[in-house]
Amino acid sequence: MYVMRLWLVVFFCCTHWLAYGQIRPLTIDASYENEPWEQVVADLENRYPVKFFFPDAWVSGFKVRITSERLPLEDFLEEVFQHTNLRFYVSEDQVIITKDYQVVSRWPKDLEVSPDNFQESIPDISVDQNPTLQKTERSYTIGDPQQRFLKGNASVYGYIRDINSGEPMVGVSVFVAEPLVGTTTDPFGYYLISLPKGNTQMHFKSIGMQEIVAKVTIHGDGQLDIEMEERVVSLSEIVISDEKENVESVQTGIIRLNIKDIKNIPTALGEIDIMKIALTIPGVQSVGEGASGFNVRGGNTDQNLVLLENTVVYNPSHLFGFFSVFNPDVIRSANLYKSGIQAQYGGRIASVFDIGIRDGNKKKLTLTGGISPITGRLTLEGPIKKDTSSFLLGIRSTYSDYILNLLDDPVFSNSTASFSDVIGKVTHQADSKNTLSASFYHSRDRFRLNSDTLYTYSNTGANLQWRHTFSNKFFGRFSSSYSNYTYALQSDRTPEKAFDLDYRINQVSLNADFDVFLNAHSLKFGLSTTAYQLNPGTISPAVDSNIKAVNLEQEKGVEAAVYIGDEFVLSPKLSLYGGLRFSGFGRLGPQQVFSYQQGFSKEVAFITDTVNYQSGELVKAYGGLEYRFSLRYILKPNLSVKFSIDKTRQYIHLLTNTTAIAPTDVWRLSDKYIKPQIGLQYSAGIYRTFYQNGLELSIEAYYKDLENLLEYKSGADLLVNEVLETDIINANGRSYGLEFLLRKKSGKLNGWLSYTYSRSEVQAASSFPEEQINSGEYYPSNFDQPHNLSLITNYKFNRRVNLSVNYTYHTGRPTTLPFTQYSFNGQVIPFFTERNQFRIPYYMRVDIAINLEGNHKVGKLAQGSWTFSVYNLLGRNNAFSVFTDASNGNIQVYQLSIFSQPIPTITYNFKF
Amino acid sequence: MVRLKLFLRYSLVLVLLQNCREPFEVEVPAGNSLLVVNGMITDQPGPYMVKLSRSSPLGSFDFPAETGAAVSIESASGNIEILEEALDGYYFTSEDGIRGEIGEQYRVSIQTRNEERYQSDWKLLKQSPPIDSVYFTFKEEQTEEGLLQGIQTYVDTHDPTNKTEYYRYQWTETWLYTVPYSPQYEYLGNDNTSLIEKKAVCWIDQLSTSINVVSSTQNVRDIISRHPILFITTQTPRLRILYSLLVNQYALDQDEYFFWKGLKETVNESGTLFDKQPQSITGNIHRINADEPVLGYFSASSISAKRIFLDRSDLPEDTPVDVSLFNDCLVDTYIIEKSSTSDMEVFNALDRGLVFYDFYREFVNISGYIITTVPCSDCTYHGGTLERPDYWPE
Repeated sequence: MYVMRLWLVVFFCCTHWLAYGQIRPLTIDASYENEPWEQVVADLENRYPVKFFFPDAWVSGFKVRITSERLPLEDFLEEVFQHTNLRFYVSEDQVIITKDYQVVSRWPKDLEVSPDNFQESIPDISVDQNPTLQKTERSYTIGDPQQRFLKGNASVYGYIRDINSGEPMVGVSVFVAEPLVGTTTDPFGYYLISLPKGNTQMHFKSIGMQEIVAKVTIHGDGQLDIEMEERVVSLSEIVISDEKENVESVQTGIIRLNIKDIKNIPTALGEIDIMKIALTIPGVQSVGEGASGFNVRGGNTDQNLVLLENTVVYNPSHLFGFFSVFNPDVIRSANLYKSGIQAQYGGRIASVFDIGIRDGNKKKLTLTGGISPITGRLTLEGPIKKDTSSFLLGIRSTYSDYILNLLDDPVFSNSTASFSDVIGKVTHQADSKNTLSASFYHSRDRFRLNSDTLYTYSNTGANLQWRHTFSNKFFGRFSSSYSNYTYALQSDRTPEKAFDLDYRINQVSLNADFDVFLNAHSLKFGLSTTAYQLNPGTISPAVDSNIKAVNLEQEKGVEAAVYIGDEFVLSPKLSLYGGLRFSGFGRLGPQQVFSYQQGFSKEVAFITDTVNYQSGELVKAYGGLEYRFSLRYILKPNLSVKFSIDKTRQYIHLLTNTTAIAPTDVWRLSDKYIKPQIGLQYSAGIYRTFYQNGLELSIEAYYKDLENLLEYKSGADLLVNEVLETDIINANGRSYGLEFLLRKKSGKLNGWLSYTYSRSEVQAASSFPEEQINSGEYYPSNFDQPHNLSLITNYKFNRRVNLSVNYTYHTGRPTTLPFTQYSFNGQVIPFFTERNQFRIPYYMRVDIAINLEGNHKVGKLAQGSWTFSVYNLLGRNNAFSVFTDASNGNIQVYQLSIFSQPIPTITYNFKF
Repeated sequence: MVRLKLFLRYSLVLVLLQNCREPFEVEVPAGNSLLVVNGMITDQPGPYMVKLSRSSPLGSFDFPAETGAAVSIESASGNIEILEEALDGYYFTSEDGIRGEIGEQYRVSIQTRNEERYQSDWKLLKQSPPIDSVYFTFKEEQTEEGLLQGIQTYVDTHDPTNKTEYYRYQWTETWLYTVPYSPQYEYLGNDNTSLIEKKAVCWIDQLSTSINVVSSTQNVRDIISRHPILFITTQTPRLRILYSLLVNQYALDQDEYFFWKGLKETVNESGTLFDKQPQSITGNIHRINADEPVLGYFSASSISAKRIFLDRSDLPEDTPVDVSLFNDCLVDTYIIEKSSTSDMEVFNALDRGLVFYDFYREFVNISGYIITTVPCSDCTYHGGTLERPDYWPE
């Protein structure tokens, strides 16, 4: 009965909404303690001139708890329906309850199209019988009707924001289905799309948000701003999504991770970690559980450009690599580019991991936080000036030191291991043409593991950004960033040997990036310069110490690049991207450069000459063109093929002699002897969606050549090394692989399955035997794990309970074992010859997590949620390493495991 | 609180430092059998030794000697001496043969029975400065097995000319020990039993096997101070009576220093991802006219030595020293009822590994034997020698 009435009223009120003026303020004085909705309605209808319309089924069992003193009706209802999927619409004396969507009765404030331009500015509301579809449909008219007879396409542009926080929404897919044309919003939530004139349907889609379908009548160029709302059944799903709908985007190898949507994935020790999630993506691997960094398509760890809000993060790991430095509460999303790296990115050859900090809430002050066995987190955010500027501050810290000190065992109480990080951001929208933002981060680690050496390391970064709209088709972004990585080692074994060792790298970058939209072209061009200054090592002896003070020469370098890239829609089916980047690097003095005798391996004994370069003098220059190309051809609306080529260059290198990178590994700049690393990747893929985009399949293949990788002579000491070139071996690498990714994005059960077959090999073939590894033959790299399988699933039981199960399998990484042993000096000694000829056992792990949303009773102070997770549910003794130990007189091969038992964790998250 | 601590401990062990190391079975194909050379010339009088052996597959305990090779040591100034194989694989110079001199260069040449030829690089015999002192402190630390107590020894040295820079240490431990039931008489199979040799007190030597190198290149001057040599735990009987440590110091060049350092890293891998990549350590010996790795080293150095003595008084009072070796030592009396059959029975007893310790005297009349086991009565059983070293204090 009510349903019928509802339909009529919706129709009625919607067609006439423009006619209604300001609603007479009606205030409610009432108090309900868990009263059934039906009774509340009866009471309100009795006491106030108001009538409610709703289907009974929606409200059955819904109880109201509220105390209202002179609350305006709308605020009253807002509060009642908070945390439900019910919405309301007040039309004079009538209240219509809707489910899952909001009846929009006014245009977003910043919509610039004047209402006069709308012919049928009427929200077209259809109550969907299937609430899971969760679409909102609206109608708009864009452009000046007089333009409609002019030839050519029209440009439709605008900003997309979150209706609740006002935060710009990045990576929202904007497309029309027929002909298939699409784009995505940039980091400012801006999009621009060229569409044929006439009537069409524009889709706005983003993970976790209600899809918006706009019926548009396009007469000419015009702006259309959209506010999107979180899907009302707001339990986060685990979804990874491509920047665009996979089939449509022009690039290969791009994955977008949305932090909102990965919060349910179980992790070790309850820390949500975007980098650990990245490891479940095909083509991304690491050398071991808890190893620092990651390897993308056979690239070394230092070949990933890790950007936090455009600022380079040199060591993204806490606690050796068990956690990443990115506090999950403040980051918005991350884009990982495995290939198809566009020309605006450069400086590293394997991948770009571009992490964005979210904007603070522009509407209200909120405090969120969480507690896990290892860390506590707090995030404060809110408007500085409502709707214009906001701030965000997230702090995370461990309390492990406190716990360690509680323990009697001297192994523990002699140890310390702690970390903390702070991330903050301020955004200010000066006017519709200018946006300013500033961000900073700082992370810090300290550890001492039952020894006399205390290690500390920290990352610091800051970024200032100004985005200016020159016209609706021409944008500029100007940014400067600073980043710093330092580590220090304090050894105090004995007074005679006490010393401090310090390492520091500073980088200052200036960037100018421009976007121009010209019909079928979107052009990006810009330039960037980076100045590096690094202190490769200082040893400061303590008072009374015998240790010699060492102060390695500072290294200075300048890197500059100009680029231009064009994404060109040739036809609805064929899109091309072509980009050129010219990068150059100059190594600047002061530097003392040695020359070595020709025809010999570089050794101190063969130094023939020494040249001293003055401060600022150019020691060595490198440069070269980096070309980037991608192509996409749509075979069918749900099927496309793509191809891309990327050439990349890198002028800064991490020297690491160990299997995994250590916090004490040093970055060094290219110089006369350390040549830039160069990568060239070919990649091709096929992309398909099934079941109305409910299921996505992508298959990508790649082949990659790497030049000038760094390897080291046996026993090289890289720390505080004054003649590094004598320990360095130039190596080349190649890698290839095939990646499958099958994703289910909607429904009660969602998740993804990824499988990769890949190989990654290194070759050190010098004419000098001491510079050869494995006699100059190709050998597997440390992270060559041919088979890699991940399954991430999440099942929603109901609004408050969901279950997540992960499965991970990969081939064991290569390791080096001795083929032979000998007796020498009374000891049995292994002799290692061929590197990486054995493998550690395969790795397999199952994790499980249950997420419980707290009940959302009205008036409750805080909203909480609990996560119960078990990492390594099967308690499998996964090998971390396989190695030999000969210290007991004979050689024994051992396997070391780290997490050999299931690790249960409870995490509590809250929001005020 | 205890519960909380237990929980914390449990979770932290799991979380931070928990790791589990277990033997791992792996099939490693046998590599080539490579020549291993261990030779040294010093400034001390010869004979000098060059030991030749072969590497063996992993898991094997057999390191075959390289016999029948022609081995010679020559000096840059033209002295040459062919070594003689005194034992399988052990080649010696003669006692009055070549003698190392500081500042001279030496090398070793080898031709195996299969006519494969090897040669070392020329090696300068470096002078090792005198050891300033060898000293020690009492040290105790908590380990997973419990409280570990002992003596930590250190060495100090310096080179006023700043030329040595790289040092290697080897040491010989010698300690005196006794058995609780050394025979008072020796049984000769008849009543003519008398004491011939008492095997109550022995000296035992133990040579260092661990690699100990240090460099002063990171120090202001060529000074080595408080460099740890050896930790002597009280869990062995060494410190029970009197103990002596002789420290030998050799001077190395940079190449040899990195050889030993690399070898040490190879032997002690910890299995973390922060271990260096395993290295192929080869020394200064090369195959002539062929590309084949040769293991081991031919070194040359003068020796500086220093000896110290330690006894129980160097430990804090009441520090227990392990003597568990003799915990099971008991004596048994063997009463002779009929003297005529006694010998046979005593023989039988000795056949079972028992040893005559003393006569069993019932009042004054001898009426039997006191018998114990060999480990409790013969100190040479434990590897020591009865010969008092000439440096041993009275």
